[in-house]
Amino acid sequence: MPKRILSLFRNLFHKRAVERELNDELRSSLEILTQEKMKQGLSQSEARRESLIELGGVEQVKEEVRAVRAGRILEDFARDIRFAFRTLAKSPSFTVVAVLTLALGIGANTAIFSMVNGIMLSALPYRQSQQLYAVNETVPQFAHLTPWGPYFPVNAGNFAQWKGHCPAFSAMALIWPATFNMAGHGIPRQVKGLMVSADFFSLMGIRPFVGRAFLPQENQVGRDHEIVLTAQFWRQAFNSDPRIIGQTIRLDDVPYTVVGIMPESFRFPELPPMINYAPQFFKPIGFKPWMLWSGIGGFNFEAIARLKQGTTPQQALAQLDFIEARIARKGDARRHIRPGAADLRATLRPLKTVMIGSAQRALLMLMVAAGLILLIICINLANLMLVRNAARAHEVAVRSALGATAKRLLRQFFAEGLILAMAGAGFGLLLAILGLRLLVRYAPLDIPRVADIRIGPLVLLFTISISTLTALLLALLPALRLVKTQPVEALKSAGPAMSGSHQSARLRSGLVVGQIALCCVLLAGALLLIESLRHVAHANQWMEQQHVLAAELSLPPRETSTNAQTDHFLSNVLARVRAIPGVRDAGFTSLLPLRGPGYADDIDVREDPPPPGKRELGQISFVSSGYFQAVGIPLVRGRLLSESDRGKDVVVISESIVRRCLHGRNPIGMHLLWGADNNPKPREIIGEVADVRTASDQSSTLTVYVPIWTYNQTNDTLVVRTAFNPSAAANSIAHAVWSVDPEVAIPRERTLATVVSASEAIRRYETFLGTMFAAFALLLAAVGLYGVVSYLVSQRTHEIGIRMALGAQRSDVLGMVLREGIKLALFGVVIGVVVALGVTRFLSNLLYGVKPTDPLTFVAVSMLLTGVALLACWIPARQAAKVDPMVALRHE
Amino acid sequence: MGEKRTDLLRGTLDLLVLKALSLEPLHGVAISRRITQITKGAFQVSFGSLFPSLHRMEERGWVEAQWRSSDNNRRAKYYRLTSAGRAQLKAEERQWNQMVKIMTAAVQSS
Repeated sequence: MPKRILSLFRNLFHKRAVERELNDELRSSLEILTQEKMKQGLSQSEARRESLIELGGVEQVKEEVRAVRAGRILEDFARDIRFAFRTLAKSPSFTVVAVLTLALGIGANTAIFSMVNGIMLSALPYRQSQQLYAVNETVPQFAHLTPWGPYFPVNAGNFAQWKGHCPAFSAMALIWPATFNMAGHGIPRQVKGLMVSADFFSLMGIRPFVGRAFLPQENQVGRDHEIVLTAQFWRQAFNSDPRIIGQTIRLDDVPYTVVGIMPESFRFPELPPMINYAPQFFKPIGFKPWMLWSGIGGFNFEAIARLKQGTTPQQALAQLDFIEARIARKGDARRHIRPGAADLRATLRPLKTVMIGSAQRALLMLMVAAGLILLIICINLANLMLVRNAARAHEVAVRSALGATAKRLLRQFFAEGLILAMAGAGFGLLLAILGLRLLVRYAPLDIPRVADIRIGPLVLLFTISISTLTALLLALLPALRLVKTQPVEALKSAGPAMSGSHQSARLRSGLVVGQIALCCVLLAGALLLIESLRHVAHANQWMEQQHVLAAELSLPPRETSTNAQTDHFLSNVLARVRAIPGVRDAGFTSLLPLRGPGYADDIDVREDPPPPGKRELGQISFVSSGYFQAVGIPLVRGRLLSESDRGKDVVVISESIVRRCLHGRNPIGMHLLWGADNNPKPREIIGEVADVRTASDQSSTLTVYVPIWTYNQTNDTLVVRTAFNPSAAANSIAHAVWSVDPEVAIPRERTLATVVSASEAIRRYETFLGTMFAAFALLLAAVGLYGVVSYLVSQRTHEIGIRMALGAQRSDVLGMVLREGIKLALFGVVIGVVVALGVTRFLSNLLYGVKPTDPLTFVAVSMLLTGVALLACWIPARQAAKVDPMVALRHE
Repeated sequence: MGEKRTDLLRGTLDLLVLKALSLEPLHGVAISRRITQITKGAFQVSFGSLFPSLHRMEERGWVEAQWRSSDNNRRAKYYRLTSAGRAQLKAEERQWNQMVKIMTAAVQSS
């Protein structure tokens, strides 16, 4: 019906011409009629009167014609929207509060949905990704001993037996992360690689976009010297130079040939130990004999398999378990596992399920919480709209008496709700875009598939849908109540006519009490977290951090083949770094404080042995001379390590060991044993130093400092204390290191202050999130309370007028309304405090230096909430006190 | 007035208007007179129904309007059937006859 569409355009855009023509037509009809009647012998005025009667009123006919015109619905809608804009503009404070809370609610829903969509809903970016499965092994008897629970990584030897004997799979591959030092392209650096079995790429269904994938024979030791780069690494390190194909790159002193480059869109499968790992290149696994070791230490790889079309996972698992049972029956002579002593089984889980892992439950919970919050917002705002419309009840009654239909009124409310919801959606979308960037980019947490989280078409559709739903709710809740109002009643009583039923009043109050209680719990949690953060920051202030630089070194293998070689390298570096002007102290450590737990083992003091089975666990830290001075750990007793201790078996211990194992006795001259079962050499204790912690959240750790020259490892941290701004020295320190060996990578060089700050990052993030949630809940509770009290006031305007006429003072009215509101608030606070006291103990492993039932916190929460509640009630209470008794009564 | 009855009337009215226009183009008042004439005075169409019906049919492309002078030299808006309108008239006539047959049979049964 193109003709009708043309009419639609004409009606909408040439409204004046259309109207003029209608007017002309009716006028000419009137004249024709008049003339007809005059011919029949009527006088002109008589004829005109008769004609008007026959025509039925020019304006009425026009209205009838307008009602059938194309585009009538659009026109009405536009009028409703214009009207709604005017009414909203009349109460800007309501509009701002409504749009703000809706923006927060819709924004939170959008942000969380885009995470749900990116992480859970969208398919993995591989060919027929639903056919991909993660394979794990399990030994039920050992499941409780391992950090992986029942899902062990895969043993390469067992994997070799599956391959080719499981017809249910069309392909299988192993992957394994490893880091290397790369030299020869600018400064040496540490790069992240993913070791893969050769058919990994064909399994995932993605080919390099330049060059080739790996060949089967490249999984043999000696032929595994090819690598495939990711597009990102190719861009960053090689300026996207296509000539890199065929060239060699030296990794850990070994040359590798670049054979391919993956497309930019390729995402590697982030199986749990590798979430956010972001490898820079892929290398075939050259299977060395130790990798095939079948003992429990040989379970190292992640396995991915592609199920053949038409095969069920159950069939595949049965085939795997058949082979596993055969392996278990044979036992393992080398590890003295008797044949049949341990069960060996395989597990099969969809790749996506494993990648999403624990994020799934958290995401779903967040989604439900966000939905509930939006619902509460809608109910709160509906209450507020009801209050606004209470004042309009009279107007509505007049309009419906004049013939406005219920449908018409509903449309009016919907227009208002729609404007609010769309404005909320607009700001909410902005908030979501900003919030997502902050939440995801700066989250120090492991979120899988971060690259897939974005605000795409599906997310926009979601936002539009929930906004429309919100608009409907905002329209329906108050409109239904108003439409139910009988016009006659409303006109008769003139004032706000609808006295909401007792039940719905109680429901509204109950909802507000619930919101306040919930807010109380969240506030208590947030305050406890803030208090903990303060304690942690305070506990981290022991070090003079600004002038200390920590450089993490990754040594090439040739420097660490023997203890003596490592020692030689480290001593050389120390000598050169100490020669840099402005450097006060320098030393090496295997692990900085606050950088997490490292190597730990049993410790006991020979002179004061612990009762059997009561050995303490201590952190074993390997340090060089100069380390304590550089990092700033003060000496308590005895002396620090010096170069003259070379060749002697000495250790320095922390105060906490003296406290715990020696009850404060002087430890100097005593002997310490660590890892007594396989390292029974006693070492003389020469010094006692102040405590440090391995993580911000831990109490001080028992630490044994062992001279670094008794050990060799590829990763060490160089700590340098300078007299001036240490960042200025960063460059000369790096060059001092490279003057000893130009292939040492320095993955990170940062001040101790940054290290400390990074160690607090997760806590700061959690505290920030908690505080935001609590602040949001506070805002919601305040809006809710304000709405309910305003509603009460609007209903009782008449009563208040009578009271004042009978002599009640303004302060009496103010007090009366405040009391009503505060009663609700206090009720909520009491419930909230009781619940919070029960719930905060689940926070206890997040807290530091403060008890979950800290009385001061709870007093502060109660006072804060009561204060905000008072404010929320104050505004309507003041309005009530301003009621002019004459006006309120005359209105009757 | 019940809505169902309006609908019935509206459908009938469209048919009557189309029929009235089937001989020659007419203006609004003349259409009203013609309908009274062809229904032998049984139907007196109110202008409040006639004009909306005409405008709706114009938007659907069943009739075309043109301003020209009437018999006694007054400008009036004349409506003329289009070919789509003619087809519509045929269809509605057929429908009407069928309906009459069905209804007659239904009423005469028992």
